[in-house]
Amino acid sequence: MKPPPACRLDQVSLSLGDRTILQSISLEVGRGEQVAILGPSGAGKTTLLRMLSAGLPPSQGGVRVLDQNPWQLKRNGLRRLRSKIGFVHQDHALVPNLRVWQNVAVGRLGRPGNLGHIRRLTLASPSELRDLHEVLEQVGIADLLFQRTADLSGGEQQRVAIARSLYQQPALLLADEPVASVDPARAQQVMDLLLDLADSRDIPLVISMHDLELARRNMSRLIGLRNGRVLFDSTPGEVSESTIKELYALASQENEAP
Amino acid sequence: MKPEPRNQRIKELHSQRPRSFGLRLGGILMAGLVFYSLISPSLHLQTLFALERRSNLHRFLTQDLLPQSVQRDGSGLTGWLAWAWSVLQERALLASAQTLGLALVAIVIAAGTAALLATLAAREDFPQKPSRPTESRGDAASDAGPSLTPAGARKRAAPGPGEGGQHALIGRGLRLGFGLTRSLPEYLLAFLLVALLPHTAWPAVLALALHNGGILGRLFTETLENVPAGPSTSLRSIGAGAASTTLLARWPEAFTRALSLTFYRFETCVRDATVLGMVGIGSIGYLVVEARARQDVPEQFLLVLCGATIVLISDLLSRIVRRRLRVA
Repeated sequence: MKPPPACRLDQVSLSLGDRTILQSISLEVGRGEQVAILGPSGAGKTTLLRMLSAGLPPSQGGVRVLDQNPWQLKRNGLRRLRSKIGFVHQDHALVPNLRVWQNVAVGRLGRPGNLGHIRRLTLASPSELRDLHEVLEQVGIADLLFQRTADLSGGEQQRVAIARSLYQQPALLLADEPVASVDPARAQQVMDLLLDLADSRDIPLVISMHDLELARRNMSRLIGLRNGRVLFDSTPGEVSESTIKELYALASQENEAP
Repeated sequence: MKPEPRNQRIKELHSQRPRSFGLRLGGILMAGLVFYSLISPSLHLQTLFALERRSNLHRFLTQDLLPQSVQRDGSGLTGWLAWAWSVLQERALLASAQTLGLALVAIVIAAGTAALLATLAAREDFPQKPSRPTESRGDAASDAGPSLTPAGARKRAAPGPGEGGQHALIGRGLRLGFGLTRSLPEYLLAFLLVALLPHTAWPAVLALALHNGGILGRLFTETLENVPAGPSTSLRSIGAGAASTTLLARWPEAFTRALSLTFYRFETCVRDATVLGMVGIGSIGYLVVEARARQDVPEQFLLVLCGATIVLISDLLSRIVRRRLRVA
């Protein structure tokens, strides 16, 4: 029997105030799939990721994440579901005044036990520190364990954010433009880290990005989003240059229109 | 554009600039009030520089400030220093230490309580809620099929970050409480508490703690609310609860500023503690009132100097700590 998809959107629309952000989107992300969401700024990529992370309910349509219906869960159920979804943010979203190990350890905050978390984040046990060190080693910054996060470079902070997701042990990994502000060489490194993380755990990876070449090289499926609608959803080989040009050119014409 | 038309255009733009009639009127009224105050009999500048003021000042410096013993034996500065040291040893040093201790205990209580309550009072960012098309309300369930989320199911869904009426109500109540306690002057509070509590330093401590607790509560709440939302949103997105998010994502960012604000209020607390003694509580202010009752001007002057010294020392220490905190 075919396993259920990791996430599924069925005719999903979202309006905030008078603005329509997403319109009639239907898609499925299977276990182990690596998906890139492409599209110009304002196309709805981040919103789509937030919906997949059970962070935003739709105005219309159905959402199912990790075989659960997020918006029918009670508070604790929703927290448990979210604790299984890793999210790497574009601006890293780390707490600058915490140490690196603490920022990684917050990855497990969604698990039950508030007091235990607070204890763990103030006084980690030697075995917890060993685990955290190992995770940081996997992203190549093990020696920064006790550094203040605010003192790290942008690239190092990004690795901390990825390490946090690694430590979280998610069942679904989402990343919002993780390579938007890095040079091409570093962009590939970041992609490698994310893909390794997804591969090693056989979890689906959904990344929003602008770099078509990077997406083609690394991802198994590309979804083009424009004005909140899916323009294409196919394998890298099937997406032609003209389709991509259409995706961005049409959007820029629409943006320029008064 | 040629210079002349450009100048013309600049003039037009200048005349079209946004102007506030209320602000101008307020400025004119304020200037009028200041002028009126200066020409009114009680504040007339002439009264400040009248000739007899000079003779009064001379008498104050050469006679009033000198204790009778120094005036009697004409020992001058040496005699004054010996007298001052004896007053310091007998009463003033102990009262100064008590004043400082009183302010310290008050600020610790105020900051501790304010931190706890501000954690509860601080609003989280309310994400914009999705709007529901009226024509499709309730139909989505059938559109989506039984296994998927109907939009109407949101009614049963767990609240997202920042939602929850109970928390909002507690927050509103606490912010009102902060407003009330900080609007009551500590001097009035101390008067009230002297009547209620035993005659110790506690009325002064609690008066200072209540007033400063209100101020710090408000400031801490605003500091927590102004922490960039990114890290908290990120923690909420991976399932972290409100308490852990506030403690681990917001407080680490707000802590340095909150500490700096506490030291700032500590300076004010020390200043207020020197005055609060005047309601009959053991501090430097109490000794000033006592000396005034005995019409002992030299001792009053010495005690006021002591009070100023404590305030200056605490100001200096507080400034050093706050500078270091800004660097950290």
